[in-house]
Amino acid sequence: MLKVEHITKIFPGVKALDDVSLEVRKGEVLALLGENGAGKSTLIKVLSGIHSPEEGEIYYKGEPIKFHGPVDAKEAGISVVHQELAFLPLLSVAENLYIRHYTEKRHRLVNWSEVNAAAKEAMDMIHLHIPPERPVGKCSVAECQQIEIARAVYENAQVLILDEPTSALNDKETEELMKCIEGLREKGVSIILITHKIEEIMRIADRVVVLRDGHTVGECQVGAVTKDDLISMMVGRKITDMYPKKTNRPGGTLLSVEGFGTDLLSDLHFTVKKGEILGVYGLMGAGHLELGQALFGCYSKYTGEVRLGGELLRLKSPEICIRKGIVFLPSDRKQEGLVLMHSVKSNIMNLYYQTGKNSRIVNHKREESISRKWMEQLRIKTPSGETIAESLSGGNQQKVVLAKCLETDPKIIILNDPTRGIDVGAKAEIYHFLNALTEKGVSVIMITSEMPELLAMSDRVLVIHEGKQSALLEKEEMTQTNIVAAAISNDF
Amino acid sequence: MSNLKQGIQKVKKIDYLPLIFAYAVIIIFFSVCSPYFLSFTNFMSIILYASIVGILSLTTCLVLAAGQIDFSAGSVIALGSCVMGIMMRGGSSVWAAMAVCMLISALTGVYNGIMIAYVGMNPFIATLAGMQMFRGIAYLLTDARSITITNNVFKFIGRARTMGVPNAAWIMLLLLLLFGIVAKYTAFGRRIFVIGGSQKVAYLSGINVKRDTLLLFVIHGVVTGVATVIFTAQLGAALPAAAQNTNFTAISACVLGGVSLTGGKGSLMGSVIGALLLETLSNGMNMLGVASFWQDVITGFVLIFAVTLDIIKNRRKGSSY
Repeated sequence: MLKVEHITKIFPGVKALDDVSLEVRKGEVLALLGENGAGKSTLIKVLSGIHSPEEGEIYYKGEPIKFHGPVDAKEAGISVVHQELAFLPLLSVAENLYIRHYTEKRHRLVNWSEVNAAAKEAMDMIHLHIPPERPVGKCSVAECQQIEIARAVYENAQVLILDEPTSALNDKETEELMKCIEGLREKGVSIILITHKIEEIMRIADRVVVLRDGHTVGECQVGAVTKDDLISMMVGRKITDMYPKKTNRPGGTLLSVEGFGTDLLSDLHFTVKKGEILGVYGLMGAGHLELGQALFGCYSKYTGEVRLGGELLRLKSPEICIRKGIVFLPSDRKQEGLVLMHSVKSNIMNLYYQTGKNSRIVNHKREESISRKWMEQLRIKTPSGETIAESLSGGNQQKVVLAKCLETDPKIIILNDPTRGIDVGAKAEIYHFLNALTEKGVSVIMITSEMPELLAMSDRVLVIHEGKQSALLEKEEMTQTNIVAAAISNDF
Repeated sequence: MSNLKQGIQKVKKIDYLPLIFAYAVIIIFFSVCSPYFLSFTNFMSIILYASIVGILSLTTCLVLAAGQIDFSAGSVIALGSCVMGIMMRGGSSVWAAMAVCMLISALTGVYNGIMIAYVGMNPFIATLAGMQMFRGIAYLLTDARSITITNNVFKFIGRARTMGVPNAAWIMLLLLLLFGIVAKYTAFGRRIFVIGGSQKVAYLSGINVKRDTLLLFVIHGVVTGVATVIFTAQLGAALPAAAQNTNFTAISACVLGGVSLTGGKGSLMGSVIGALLLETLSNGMNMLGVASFWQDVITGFVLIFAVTLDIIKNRRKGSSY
């Protein structure tokens, strides 16, 4: 269907793709696996006409083809569903689907019933049922993704490229997406799935191509390889210990939460011990994500009592929490974690002056040495501290956010989806680092949608369902079945 | 040798480097066209007139770097100026008049800051409303008539020189130094840039975004007050219709200096050089006898040209969007 041969793409200073070849057949799911920076994004951009390669050929339906921009590729039937979805949140689902036609001459006047009917028809093709009049801003991430897929299918896409579609989905939504992909495969659509999650590849892909540092390092049928094979191909080394052997010894109670509630949460009772990792799990919309922000003072209206080492806390603002030794790593590092246009150093120093412990006069030599310390300790791969945060890979960006939190020397660190959308290597490094932190007596509240991470890293797990605490599981009770059962219903 | 290389690297990193080149081109152009242009006296007269916009551009730059904007400063100048005129006509001392001017300017900052940070109004709207209100009050107070002011202190501030350099320029340089230190060496200055980079990130980093924004607008108000005193002193009169363009010229100067209108980035030095460039341009065009409407067209064009160059410079290579 679509075939590329010997593609080379050079950016100033880097060879992003070096002699890459791959092929996707009709009605096949091809997985593209690789660490961040392996060249996946560049390859997609070549396939979708955004970049033109320095060398190599692209064949589409057996014919050599050259794209002069994304519109060319789309017209030929190659559609990309990007990681960050480009929707206009205030406009309706239908209008978002229809926008492309606004540039056509015969659509100078808008016929609303036609717009809504077309949207319904598009969504029906993938069995998606969302009222076409609903504003996109009121749809979940999972729904938006499916809307985007519907748009592509409706526009007669024959090759559909999905760029890390599940990075923001929970298990249930992921399963729905998988079913949707299976449906498309049966219709004869070719799918290229870019992902970090090996489980998904094992679940749905027919073949897998592994990229590393711009080269193709392997291509195989999914049935013929094991998970460990894929991981080692990806990173070039065997990660037998993706998750560290936990060596922390939780001490006495550090944080106690009693009858805590906000507009979305109610009646939570739990404690966090010194040097423990408390995992928090919930399905999308359960309110578990808000818990992190609430404990960090982002909701000034709350009920109940929160005590840190016996002292009653006023959770009125992040400023107060940071001074008390609570820090928060937000899930959306690009929007909430980093000032992307500022340097790595400047980002690392973001919390430093708010702890109340440090001088308010800026000493540039000290800033330099602090940022260098974290760049070494967390192994942040960056040319220098002056590099703009935006140019770093996802994993390294996340390490910068972690560094700025840790520079405050916190007692408790609240992590909100700490490994979302980052590669296996960086993930493993972050897990090891968290383990080392808890060993030193720092407590961690880890809110996550990723089950393996939750099971491997937590000492105990708090499960939230519809804003209420549905279970607090000790190590022995922490099984996937127990957790999911508690996440689905309150009657656990 | 490596020191030289490092030095060159450092110079290359200066954001407003193209501005300096553009400035040089303008100076060379006018020097060739007019025999009177290139002289110490003329340059001192440029710097004398540039100092008002230069001073205003300092905190305008910080306001823009914080992701905000202010359209009211021109009206604040008119208001402060008229209040001083009325007070001094009524016999009060120049010092009291200046103090009240500073106070009123600071209060306009409080108004802007509260509306934007605490009420949550869009800065465009809040300061646009302020621009109309303050100008209106200036007209009301003076009955739309101008007041002539003659005062020795004002002569000293507005016209006199120390070591050959106008006192107004000394004030500008002093404030440039002061705000340079605030921006680079204080936590407050750094917080302004984080807020401009992303209010969300700033809030989650424990920065009191509202308080800092308010404080910034109050400081901006006080600096506008300083500009008002110099403006009134140079003019020797209080006019309710004065300083219609000063505000926008200051924003232009900051943009020439490389400030990002979406916030997070800005250079004080660049802004002052931008102010100098604009004044030089107008000075040069006056010497060549360019008609004033043409001057507006040319000034607008220079701004567009400079910003276009900057966009082209920053456009990513190898990508079609």
